Amino acid sequence: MERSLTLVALFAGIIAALGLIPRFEIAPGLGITAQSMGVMLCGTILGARLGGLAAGLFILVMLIGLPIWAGGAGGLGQLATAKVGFILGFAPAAFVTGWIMRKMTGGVWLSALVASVLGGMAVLYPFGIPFLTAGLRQSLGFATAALVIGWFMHKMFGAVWLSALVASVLGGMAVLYAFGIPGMAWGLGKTLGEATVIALAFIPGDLIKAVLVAFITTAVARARPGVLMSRA
Amino acid sequence: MLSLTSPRHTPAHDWRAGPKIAALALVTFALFLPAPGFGALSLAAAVWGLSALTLWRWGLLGAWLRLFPALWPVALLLVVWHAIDQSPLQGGVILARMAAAVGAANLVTMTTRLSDLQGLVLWATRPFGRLIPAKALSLAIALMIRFVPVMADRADTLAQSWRARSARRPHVRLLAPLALSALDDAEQVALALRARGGVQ
Repeated sequence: MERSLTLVALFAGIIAALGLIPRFEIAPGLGITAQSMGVMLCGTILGARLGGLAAGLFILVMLIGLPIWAGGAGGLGQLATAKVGFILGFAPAAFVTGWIMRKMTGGVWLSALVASVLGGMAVLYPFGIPFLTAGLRQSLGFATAALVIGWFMHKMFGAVWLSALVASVLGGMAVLYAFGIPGMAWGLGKTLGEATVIALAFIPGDLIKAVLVAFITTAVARARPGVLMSRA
Repeated sequence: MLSLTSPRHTPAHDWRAGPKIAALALVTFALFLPAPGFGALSLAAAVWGLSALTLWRWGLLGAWLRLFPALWPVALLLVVWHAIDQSPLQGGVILARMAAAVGAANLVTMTTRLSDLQGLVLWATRPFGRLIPAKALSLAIALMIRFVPVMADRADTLAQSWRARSARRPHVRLLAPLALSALDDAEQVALALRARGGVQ
């Protein structure tokens, strides 16, 4: 109980720290928006239940007024902005990431293939026809890229790596976008198709974050195997 | 870490948190009732103006206005979109509504103490006592607030030792050791909690 409690608090703190203090560059131009990476990490390391709780705790503390959302925002006002979908989606995204992480024991190559392609396409979400072809091609491209990177890394680092990558892409991206895009559509007064086009801009950065999450999760699994609650 | 609550005491600091949040919910709901047009625009402007006037009387207008620049990416996107789309009224309504709703919510956040809101959360979760134990929740909130500056310190220490050894700027390779040291810290806190009687 004490251990779960401190780990949940710690990972909520990690999400906050990733938004608050861009100490080092993740990739050029990517430092402030690292928050969704924290959500993925919650799932891959803590697992579904604790990971979801950690992301939920972060949201709760942000809503009651600590300026811990990326860029130093916070308070109830965030619910009235275009971020509302992402706010609501954090906990489900961490939960699904953790759930997939647990289900994917071992190097399940074929399921990873199916999962990555589906994950890249689920991002599309109900679409306006004019955007369908361009968006479809783009996300298929991204999914293939993630898959190729994942396959090489899997050969290099082993099973935890691939599971963490797939779990992050599906949980941290597909689930989070499924919440975030309707939120943006509402907050910006756009249709779902238009909001999806805007969201396409996040995909490359989020894929980089998913790769980093897989890297960190592997390092943690090697150095402190007992901490990997998602597999405990 | 600083919360957004204003240190300057206003009359609203003494009001109860529950009714304040309920009023905020009502105002936000009302903002989105009229169809996009001049009516909606003036309602949003009125709500924003009233919030600004109230804060000006309490001497908090400057601090309140400083919370808005965080919205600039959204504002920029809307301006560009509706300039291309040639629908300035629609864009204006969306922007005004967002500014009014965010402003009203920030007004509540600024004039409500963190402890009052925490109390409200604990009160609201009481019916779910079995699912969410109130004591564990308040401890988790406190622990999380404590972990953030501790982790910032860790990140600084690691970045310094990196700079002492390398000419390149600290980068992503520090993330894994940072995560590991934070995890070790959490394990120690858990042990300390257990040694002091544990949770519940």
